[in-house]
Amino acid sequence: MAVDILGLISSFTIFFSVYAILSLSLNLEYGVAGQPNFGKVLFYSIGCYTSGYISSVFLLYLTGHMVAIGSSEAIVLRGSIAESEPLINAVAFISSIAIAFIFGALAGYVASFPALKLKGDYLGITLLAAGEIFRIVIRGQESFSGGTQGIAGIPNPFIWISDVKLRYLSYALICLICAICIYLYMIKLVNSPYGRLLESIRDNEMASLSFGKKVSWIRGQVMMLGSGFAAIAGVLYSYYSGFVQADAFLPVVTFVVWVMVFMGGTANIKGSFLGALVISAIDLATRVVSFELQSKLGTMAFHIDYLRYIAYAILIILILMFKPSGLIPEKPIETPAWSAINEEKSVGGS
Amino acid sequence: MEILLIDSILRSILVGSLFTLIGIGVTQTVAVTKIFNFAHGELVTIGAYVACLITKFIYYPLNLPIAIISSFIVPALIILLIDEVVFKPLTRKGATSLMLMVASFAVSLGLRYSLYIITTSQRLLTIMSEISLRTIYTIGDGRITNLFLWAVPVTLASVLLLEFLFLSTKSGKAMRAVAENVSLARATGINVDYIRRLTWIISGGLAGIAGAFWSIYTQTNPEIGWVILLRGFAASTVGGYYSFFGTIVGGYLVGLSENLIMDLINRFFGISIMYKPVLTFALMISFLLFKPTGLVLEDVNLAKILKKIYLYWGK
Repeated sequence: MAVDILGLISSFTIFFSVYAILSLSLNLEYGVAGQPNFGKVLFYSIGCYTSGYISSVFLLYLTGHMVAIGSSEAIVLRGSIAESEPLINAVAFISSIAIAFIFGALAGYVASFPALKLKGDYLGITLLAAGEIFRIVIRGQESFSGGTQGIAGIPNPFIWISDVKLRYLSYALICLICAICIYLYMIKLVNSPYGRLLESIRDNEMASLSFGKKVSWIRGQVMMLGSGFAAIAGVLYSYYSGFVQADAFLPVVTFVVWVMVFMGGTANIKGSFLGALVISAIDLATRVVSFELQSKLGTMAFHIDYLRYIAYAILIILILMFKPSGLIPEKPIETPAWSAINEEKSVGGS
Repeated sequence: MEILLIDSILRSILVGSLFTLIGIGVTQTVAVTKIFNFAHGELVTIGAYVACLITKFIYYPLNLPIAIISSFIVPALIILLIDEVVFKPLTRKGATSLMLMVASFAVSLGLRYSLYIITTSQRLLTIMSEISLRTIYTIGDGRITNLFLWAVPVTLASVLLLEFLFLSTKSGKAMRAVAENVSLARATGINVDYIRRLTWIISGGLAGIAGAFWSIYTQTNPEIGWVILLRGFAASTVGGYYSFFGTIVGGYLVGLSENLIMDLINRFFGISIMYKPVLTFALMISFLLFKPTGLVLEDVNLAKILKKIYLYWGK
């Protein structure tokens, strides 16, 4: 059975974009600003639930269909309405992104309060526990999250394109554009005076405080930005998979993002992109292998996901042991002075 | 719906004992090795599986004692191996505590999914212990089970044994010295590597014992360790991460909040019992934020309290 190349490319691109946005946001928080966010999955799931809810609001409630959000009726209705009214669905998608960013940022601001009091591991454990609390609480809110069943059938914004391959390819393009925009923004941010301020807070909080910088507010800003981006990643993913369910938001998701950041190199924006690329390549490879094996052998002795997680675990331990600064270590900040010196050097050299 | 008050209290004590066993291990590793060991939960799982398998081959009355002993030994050996392969080299290369935490998360994930692979290929993914819960006494509406009669005394015995170890033996004193200041301890000639190994054996073994009891309490699957781990962290947090006695108090407090307090909330406010873990995590977060030193001061220990009680009654 031949593998669907076009489908693979689009799914790879979507996974890569989601992972890249997540790892960029964590790299901003941990690598640049020094705040270990072990609750990344919380902000990601905020994005997922927002898109589930907003798409239901636009497609069901505003068109006058008052059905329960997790019911099978709702799944069918969302699909059919989205197909007949592509404009409403597009509006739902765009407003999901905007609203998810706002909610993510608000949650990030709340999460920055413990970050003022706690450091390192303690902050990590606090945010991890907060993520678990959020997961358990939202699983109980049947009317908002669909309960343990979750929300299924979130329609893709390009559902009106009847060719499935083309539909996902155009969605992949949108995702990639989002990821690249955030990447360019992050490069600008890190190399700006604000980026230098963030790194100064990471390296010596006291010193930046004594220069009159509002450290706590700036930390809050960083958490807001990072969490907002993570929520956008959640929106992009849930409009692709069409499915939001509480049990998907385990701390493992956070861990995978950490693997990407450590692999690519902390405080290096290009590194996060590389890390996301490697992880999504592993993702794709394991899925293709499992697909091939399954079609050859029939049933599998065990799920290939298990092997993927073991691979991640071994990979991160090797990285931490032999290349703790990551594949692309932190580079000096590209200030105007730095580029001028570099130019002079290259001129002098030639 | 009437609330089963005594039953609730007894359950709190039973579950609290298990959380204490896990929490002691967490506290020990944080104090001596400075690692928040997420792989601790997987040791509980391994202990549970070992105990379940043992009960399939060995019959009453020897089954539970042998299960407890073997589920002490196997996780202790595994965590020793992990320390040699992962944590010790990382520490030597100067990894930050955050990196160690991420590494322990990786170890936890690796162990959990290896367990998944092994158990699914042997068709053992969810197994029940051959030892079943039997009611031995009833007090009012509460039932004292055979598990209760094993778990609580074993917990208390290990607590007392560790208390003796810390206060009266040379290794125990060395362990406290290492927890206080590693470089200073090394300078006074303490074999830090030996202390480290001893710590891993104690924490891994106690986690395994907790797993053995947990396997009788519920079904065993590869996720149970992860589920119970954060309760162990909560127990350790409430105790303040460095206090042995505090961890015991924390373990029982978490047990109480998950059973008695949750039952009361369920009875009077109608909040679903599903939110049980939220209470524990909220307790943990509020302690981290508002009282990071924990509930109990460091210099309190069981011996002192017993002495005080003895003096009081002596008058």
